[in-house]
Amino acid sequence: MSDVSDPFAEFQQLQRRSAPRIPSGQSQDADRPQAASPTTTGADSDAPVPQINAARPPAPAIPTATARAEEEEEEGRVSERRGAGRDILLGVYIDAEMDGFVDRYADRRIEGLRKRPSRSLVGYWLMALGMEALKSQGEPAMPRAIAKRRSPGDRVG
Amino acid sequence: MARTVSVYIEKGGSTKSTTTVHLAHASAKNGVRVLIADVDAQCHASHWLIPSLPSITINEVVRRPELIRQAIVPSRIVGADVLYGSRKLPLVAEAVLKQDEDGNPRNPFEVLKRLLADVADEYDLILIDCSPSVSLMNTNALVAADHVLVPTDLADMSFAGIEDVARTLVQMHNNGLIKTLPPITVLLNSLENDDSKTTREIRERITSIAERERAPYTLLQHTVRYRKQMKGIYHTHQTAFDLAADGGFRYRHLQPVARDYEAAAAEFLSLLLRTDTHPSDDASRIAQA
Repeated sequence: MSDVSDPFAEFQQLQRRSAPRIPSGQSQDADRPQAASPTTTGADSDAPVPQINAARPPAPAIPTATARAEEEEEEGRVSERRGAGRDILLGVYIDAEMDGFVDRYADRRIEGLRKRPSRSLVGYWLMALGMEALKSQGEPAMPRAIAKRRSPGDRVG
Repeated sequence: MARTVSVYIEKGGSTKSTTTVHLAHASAKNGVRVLIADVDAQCHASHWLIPSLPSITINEVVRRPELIRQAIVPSRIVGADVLYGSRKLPLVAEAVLKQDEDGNPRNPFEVLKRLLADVADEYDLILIDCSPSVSLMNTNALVAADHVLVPTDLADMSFAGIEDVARTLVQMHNNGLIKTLPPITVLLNSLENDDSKTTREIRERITSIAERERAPYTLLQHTVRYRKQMKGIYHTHQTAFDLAADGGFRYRHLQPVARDYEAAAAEFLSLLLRTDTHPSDDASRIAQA
């Protein structure tokens, strides 16, 4: 029996009093479209409360296309929002490229260096290159952005 | 039978989709089976939880109701399914809703209600994410609703929006679209700080709206605080619950937001239990008589 002092349990209990339920995710036809990422089925009412997305797979590193973009493509038009989405996809792509760069140069012998560079040193080179690129375009460089993000008002109260 | 809640306010940007997704997650992670029906053409709630577009969306289902079970897709949240929205939905003409594919006449304002009734036994809670407008599909959502949830920030325009919700419902009642006004619950969202004086003033203001509009307003005691990290989480396809748990240093500020949503969800479900008569209660009473 569920604990009735818990509003969620109480709600479940009352909702399921009238008819037996088919667990969510198992109720639909087998041939229906599935989610992009596999999910587990819903828990039974008597089962322990599931953890936050315990079985949820990690988000895909580089999403290929968004649903919105697909639908807009179908309609033959592209909105400004899609442009924003592309920027984000590009960000994810650059992130992956940066990882590749670090993998490529870390722990490798490089001419002119006495020691093999660590991953953090290669990361620092990348950051320095990025800052130079930002500065050359008149954009704020990274330290200011970090300082802004760490403003006191941002702290958990 | 599931309780059907329309998350509705005509003002845009008042966190309808964010609230829908987070209430669904808070409820689902506590074992409540949730269906999100997305009638918003922006499809934010659908896209948030399911990045790829399924082959059948609500646009096809309003034309062919028998597709409803195929159209409902499990989301990334365990225990929460989604009836995926469509950008084409607002283009569905009243003429389309007036008759089904076979030419049989139907009430154009009750199409969504009938659709959801088919799957209501499989869920405990159905959340309808409405669009920020007065439209045919929003009217359908309000006709289908047992309860209306109004998420709002503290902007003056939002208060006008709260008043408009009651006006719309009263108008629908006067036109015979709904028999009784559903209870309206207001959730204060994006609060800069938990200032009791501000909150008290807001409560007084909403009480005065309730008296003036003669509408059944309730204000949830729990509020959701503002965190700027919430603005960037839509494209991650994860919720504050996910990111607070495993989003790392960047999303550590979302922990209190997740707690706020969970507390608000608990209070809202308690309110649903208190304010509504459960259909099975009626059924058992009729059976006893």
